[in-house]
Amino acid sequence: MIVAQRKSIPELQDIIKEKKNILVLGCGTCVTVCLAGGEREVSIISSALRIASKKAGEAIKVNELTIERQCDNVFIETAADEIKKCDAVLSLGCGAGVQAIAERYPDKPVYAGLDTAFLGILESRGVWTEKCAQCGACVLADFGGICPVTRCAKHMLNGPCGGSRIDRCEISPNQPCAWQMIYKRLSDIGETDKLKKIYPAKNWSKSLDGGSRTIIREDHRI
Amino acid sequence: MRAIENGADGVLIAGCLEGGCHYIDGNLFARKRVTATRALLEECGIDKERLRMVNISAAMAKNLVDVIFDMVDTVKKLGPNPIKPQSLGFKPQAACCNIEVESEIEK
Repeated sequence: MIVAQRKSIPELQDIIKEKKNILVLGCGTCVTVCLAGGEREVSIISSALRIASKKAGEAIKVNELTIERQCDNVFIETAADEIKKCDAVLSLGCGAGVQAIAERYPDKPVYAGLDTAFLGILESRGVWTEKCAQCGACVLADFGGICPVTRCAKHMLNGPCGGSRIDRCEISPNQPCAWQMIYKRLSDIGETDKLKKIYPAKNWSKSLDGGSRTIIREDHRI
Repeated sequence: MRAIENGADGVLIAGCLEGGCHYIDGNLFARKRVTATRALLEECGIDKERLRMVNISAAMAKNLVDVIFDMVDTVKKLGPNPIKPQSLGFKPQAACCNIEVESEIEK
């Protein structure tokens, strides 16, 4: 899922300054799961903004709404009335959600209330870790399901680098060495032969090179 | 947040003693959330001492009274909630349990 974090209240105040009627718009999908932009967080951030603005001597109206998914026009439509009534939307969706709302309402200021951080998983309660760099050319099949592009600090495809200590990365004792994990995993599943292959330089043309990416499925187009 | 937003001068949250909660670890989660909310209040420009949590059991009446008076003293020093409409005046209240503090505070 997409993992995000809220911006600080002073940052948000600066973003919405001079707007008097704000809609704080949450998203019921990824950012709800990572406790950054769901219904509960919309309520908390809205309350904080009302308190902060009153403290600053400003009178702003903050409305709250959470829709099922901000990156989908079908669900964005359900927020149409509230969006039309406000001066600006403070979206607590991910970067995709914010842009989807902005594209759907070209005349309405739409601001991001979160910092979208990474694609990851819930490791344990309150802990999310990055697992995928969305490089566009997945190598997981060759590395036992552990991504060196994301989880190796040097993004090495032919590791380990020699800087690790036992099973820890040299950048931090808290950071496991991805290559140690890859070796152990491939040993466990009997695929260490894969490590004999020298990986060529990665083809980054499928990543952000050349601008934002588009996937077209002709079999699903209308 | 809602209590402060609605004009409470201070909020005192009382949980069971650690390890003595009927909900096992509900009071421990509550403490973490209160800590996070205190930080959020500071971000909003509100003194975090307006929100406090104590762990206390049903058999600790005197301690509870001491804690309440300590909270009242703190709130008196801080003055009225800066976002409270002036018309509401300064009357420290325990927000979540409707305990009105003695009238001498108002004097």
